[in-house]
Amino acid sequence: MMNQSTAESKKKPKRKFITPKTAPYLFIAPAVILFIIFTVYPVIQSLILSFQTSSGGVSTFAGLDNYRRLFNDPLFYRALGNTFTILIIQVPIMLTIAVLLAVLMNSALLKMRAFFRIAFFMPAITALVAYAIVFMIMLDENYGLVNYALSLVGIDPIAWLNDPFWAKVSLIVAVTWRWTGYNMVIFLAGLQNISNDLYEAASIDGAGKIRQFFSITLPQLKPIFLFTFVLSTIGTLQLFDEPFILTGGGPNNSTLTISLYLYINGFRYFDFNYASAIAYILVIIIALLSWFQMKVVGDKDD
Amino acid sequence: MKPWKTMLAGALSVSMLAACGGNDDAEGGADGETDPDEVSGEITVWGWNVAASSMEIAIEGFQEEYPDVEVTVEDIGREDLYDRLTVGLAAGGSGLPDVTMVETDRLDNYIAEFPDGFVNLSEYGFDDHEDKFAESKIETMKNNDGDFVAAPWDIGPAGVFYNIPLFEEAGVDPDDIETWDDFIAAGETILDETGAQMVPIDISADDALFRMMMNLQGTYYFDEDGNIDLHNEEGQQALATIKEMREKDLVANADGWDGTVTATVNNQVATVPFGVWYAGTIMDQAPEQEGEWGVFKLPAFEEGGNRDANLGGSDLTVINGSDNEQAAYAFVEYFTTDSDAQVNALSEYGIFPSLLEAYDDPFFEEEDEYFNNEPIWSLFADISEGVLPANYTSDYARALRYSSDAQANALLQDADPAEALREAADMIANETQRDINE
Repeated sequence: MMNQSTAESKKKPKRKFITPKTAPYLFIAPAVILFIIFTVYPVIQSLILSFQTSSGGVSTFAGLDNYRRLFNDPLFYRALGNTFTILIIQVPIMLTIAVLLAVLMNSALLKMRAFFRIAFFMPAITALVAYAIVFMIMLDENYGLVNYALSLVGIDPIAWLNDPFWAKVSLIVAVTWRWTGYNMVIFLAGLQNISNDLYEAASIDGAGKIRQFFSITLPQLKPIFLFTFVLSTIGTLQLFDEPFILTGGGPNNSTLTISLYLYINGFRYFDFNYASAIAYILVIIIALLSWFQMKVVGDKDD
Repeated sequence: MKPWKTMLAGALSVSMLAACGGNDDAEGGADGETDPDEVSGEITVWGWNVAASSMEIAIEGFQEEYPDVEVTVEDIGREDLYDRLTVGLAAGGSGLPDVTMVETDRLDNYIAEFPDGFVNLSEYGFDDHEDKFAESKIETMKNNDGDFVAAPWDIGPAGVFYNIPLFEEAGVDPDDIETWDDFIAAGETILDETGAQMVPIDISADDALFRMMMNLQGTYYFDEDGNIDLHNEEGQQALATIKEMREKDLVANADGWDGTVTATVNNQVATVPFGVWYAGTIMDQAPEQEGEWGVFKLPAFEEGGNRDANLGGSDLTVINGSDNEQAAYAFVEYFTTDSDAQVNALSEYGIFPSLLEAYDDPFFEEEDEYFNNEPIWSLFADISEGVLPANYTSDYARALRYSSDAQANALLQDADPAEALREAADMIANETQRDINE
């Protein structure tokens, strides 16, 4: 063994690439290269695109024209409004349900916990398109399961996907169904990090279960809340699949989201320059919002 | 969570715009003459659904003329095909087949954005075939220089498919329906007598009926000069007519394509005004309703007015940068100009040719068993020859979307048709810098 390795090092004395110092870089190289190709390059390229206009296959520098057009585009504001409406209504509902479920799942009283945890987490790993199509079939105005169930209790059929108000409701329901279990698991992990001593001390002091929930559980979960809140905000701002499949942004743009508007401009109208500008505005909105959330909620912890 | 992490998360939304680089000039190898025996190679053709199948069955006939060309037809879903075509052309022609089908109303959009994306068929001599096709189809196949960039394939002469038992039950004679007023009156009778509504419309997403009505009146989203025109008197009249149907409860609001088909085969609607291609769908989805469907021409807006309109249609293009341009052109030329290939596509898969010569085939005189033994194919051939041309333009996709929005606005949110259309016209003008007709 010894002989062999010394013989090898004699052959190529100065060409040793793999040393303890370089090894870590070699290991992360594939990830970094993929990251550069699929994230860094597109990010830079689309920034350049957003400052150009193209006509007949020829791109010309256009300064801030795309951004100027964006700020005068009523549909963009419509998309922004829709996205924020969904955000403001959907995220609090989802996080509330997720916390309550997590506390329930954490309870010693519950049997078959593993089964319920998997059952609630399942939607998050279901194929997006498959679930959206199932929702579409269930929500069909004339033949859907939901309207059939409603008809049994005497409620008139609702145009779930064809009415500006109900289409938004359907989107919120679908997104909540998909992501509640995911957030529940994150809360569950947070719950298990809360020391039992706190609860013991509280019960010695005579605090009931509900008092414990509000005075111990919720304050202790604050960093988790911040994390899920930021994550859900980003997710909702990028909402695409559900409106794309369920409503196509309709009726009359009542479910048009920013991401969907971006896609339509890029891939339906071939206006990649304008789509890139939308993407960059979206990035700025997300960055500002996340920064703001962490400033407001996260300050005292640091 | 560090701020830069959120930046990265946001940046992911940018990354979907990856493949939008410049467009390298591809080599052109056109020399204008094709000797069948010298043409060889392998070509790939993209299409979807029954269209792909109908090209598949034409390969045998093609190879009798061009024995050394291997053809592979790939059946790719419609939206999937467009997405891949768009990305491929934006990336300078990589990952694309030699030949692909493109729907006629989308073609201008592609030609305008990717002028070097498709082979100029006129350089191969396609101009010689110009007189062989339905007139309304020809202009849409050419670029601004008047050269063919696509070969005309199928067209969608439109008619009203009607449910015979429902009409009989209500005592309505389809021959009496000549104008839209007659159509609405018949719809009210049928609703009273049978409970079935008159037409299915996917109100929020598809304005097919509106487009047919505009085409009937010789107009479209844009006029022949490319100016925005959908808000004109004809457009207003069309949308007002649809709104009147909705107010009289004659419209079944169908969710998407599946909803439309379901409404059709479940006797929920008495008629479906659509392009000829819908015949294949009905036969396929409701084989048990044989003999229960008939066809009559679209009603006119005034007595004795035009009843011929078109909805849909597609064509074949050769992708610039194909390794076997000549073989690809040979296939396109054979398939679109060979009468047998076109008649087979119709008889097997219901795809209606724009090749006029095909209409002389005995198949057109046959009475169709499924359609109550009516000679519906000669009826559609008759319609296709009277269709007025439409100028789709490179902004068709936008116009389609805003027009559908206007329809949803008028029918679901009770807006005035004229105002809804004006709003749509203003939106299109704002985004495209096109002139708007006053």
